[in-house]
Amino acid sequence: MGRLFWKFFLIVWLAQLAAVLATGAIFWAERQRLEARFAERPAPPPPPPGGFGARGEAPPLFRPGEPPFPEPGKPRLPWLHIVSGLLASLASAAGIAWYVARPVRRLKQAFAAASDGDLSLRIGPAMGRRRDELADLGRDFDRMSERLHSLLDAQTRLLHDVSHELRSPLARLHAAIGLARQEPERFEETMNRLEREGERMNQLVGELLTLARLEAGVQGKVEVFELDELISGLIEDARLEAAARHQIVDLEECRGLQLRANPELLHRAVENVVRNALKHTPDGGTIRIVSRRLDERHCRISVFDPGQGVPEDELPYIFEPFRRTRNAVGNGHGLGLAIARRVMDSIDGTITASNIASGGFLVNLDMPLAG
Amino acid sequence: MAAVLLIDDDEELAGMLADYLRRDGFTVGLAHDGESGVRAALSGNFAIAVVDVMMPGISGIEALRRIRAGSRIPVLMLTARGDDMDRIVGLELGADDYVPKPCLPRELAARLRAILRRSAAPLPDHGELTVGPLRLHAAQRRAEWRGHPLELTSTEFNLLEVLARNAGRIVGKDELSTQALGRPLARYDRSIDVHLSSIRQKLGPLDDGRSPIQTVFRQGYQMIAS
Repeated sequence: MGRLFWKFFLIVWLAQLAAVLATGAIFWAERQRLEARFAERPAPPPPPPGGFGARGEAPPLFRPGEPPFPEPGKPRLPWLHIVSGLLASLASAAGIAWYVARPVRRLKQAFAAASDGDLSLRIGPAMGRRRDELADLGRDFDRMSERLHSLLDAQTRLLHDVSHELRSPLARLHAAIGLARQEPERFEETMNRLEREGERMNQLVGELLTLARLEAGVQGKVEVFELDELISGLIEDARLEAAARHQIVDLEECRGLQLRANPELLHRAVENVVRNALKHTPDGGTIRIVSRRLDERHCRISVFDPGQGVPEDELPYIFEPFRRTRNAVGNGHGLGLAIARRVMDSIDGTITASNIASGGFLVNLDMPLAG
Repeated sequence: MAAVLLIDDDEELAGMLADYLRRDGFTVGLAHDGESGVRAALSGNFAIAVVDVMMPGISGIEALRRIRAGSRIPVLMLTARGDDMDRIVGLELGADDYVPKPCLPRELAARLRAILRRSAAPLPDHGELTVGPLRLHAAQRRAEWRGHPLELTSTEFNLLEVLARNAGRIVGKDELSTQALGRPLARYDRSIDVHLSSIRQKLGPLDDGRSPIQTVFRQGYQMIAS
């Protein structure tokens, strides 16, 4: 038993003891008072003639010369009451102390385990059907450690993925250096390669930083702006990129929608989705971007590409960092959609993706309108 | 010269490595996913396969398992630096050696040569060698235990051969590594131990229940001469 138990035990027990003693003292004082009054009382008046005395009987209770209670000089202690009261108060004090101290002890153990890195301990089951603040505390602890556990897991996986992702450009750097040593005359080509790999690593690190900032809740400057503005800038870039592979970017726009967000981040989110669509669209294919008002307070940007979509079982994961599907093309890192999702989260929007039965892939970005 | 099969999903990297190896005198074939890689490795057209552990679809480890199920072609694994699990699992499944990635192509070529030299050229002037129930045919690179042929990878055969030639003597891990793997032992490198544990499993115990290969703490391994 811990200190908390003994403290509670002692306090409860002492309180009970004090209450019993106080009650006893009050009773005792009361009796003293009564006795004192008896002592002062003059002798009972002589019985009226023809009364008790005439029958030769004394009053039944108070015979003269015999006090009604034991004499004050030699009190009899009620041992039975004292012992049973003591036992009862001990038992109840112990019970109450145990009831409070036990869940606290469990919590303490769980916290100790958690600070040693073991986040698998759960308290909820030990609380049984108990419903009070302590039980709530236990359940809150469980929720907390679950969340920490999954966060830590995600961080570890991210770190692992990052190191792997950085390794690929590094491996190519090494290979390029090896080739350059072997054939010094290929200097120009090697330099181009080195430059390209360096740029790739730079991009990866930049994307990672964006992701980390978004996860930390840093949103930057939030302002109200028109969606048209954002889309027109985006479309220009997309069409430029699409031209190289003779792709067409089709736009259907709803004007006058106002958003409140960090325009740069939102631009990035939509751009990532559009880029992804272009990447999965065959040469000469058409992607479609549609913006429209959903209801009074929400609008939607839809991006459709005629590519082969994502295997159904991988759909739930495409917004997680570094998830590249079996159909992945090109040399993306699998961070674009993860960033888009974090951005949408930060403005209370949602991003969803689905395969179209008749072929193609659709991503919807729903977001709240300003005001 | 020898034909090398590169199995790596990073096409650009594989292309560069292939360039390098070709200029270095190898013939190189490429496969960019596990399935086609396994098919090529089993085709018999290659003398050695280089398998990247991290591949989407079937991983390098799974590819190695499938290759080993049908062939004893020497396999060099490309593993992530610092990822011991992949390395040990790979060696246990019968990889001949591993190279941490990223690596310089020069290092890769050197490892390939070391493995090929060992598996191709048996030591001359030693035809057969018998130690207890073990019989080695160096020329054909075959081994028998109690008359039954052993399925050994080429690295395992080399290790067994070195130990058998030195039967009764303790052979240090460094010596084993240089002679059988063709490279000096790296610090904290457990490849020798992993290879030997799989050899032990294939051999089985001696009549008196002891393992024919004894570990001598901190010194190396010793084959019991009987």
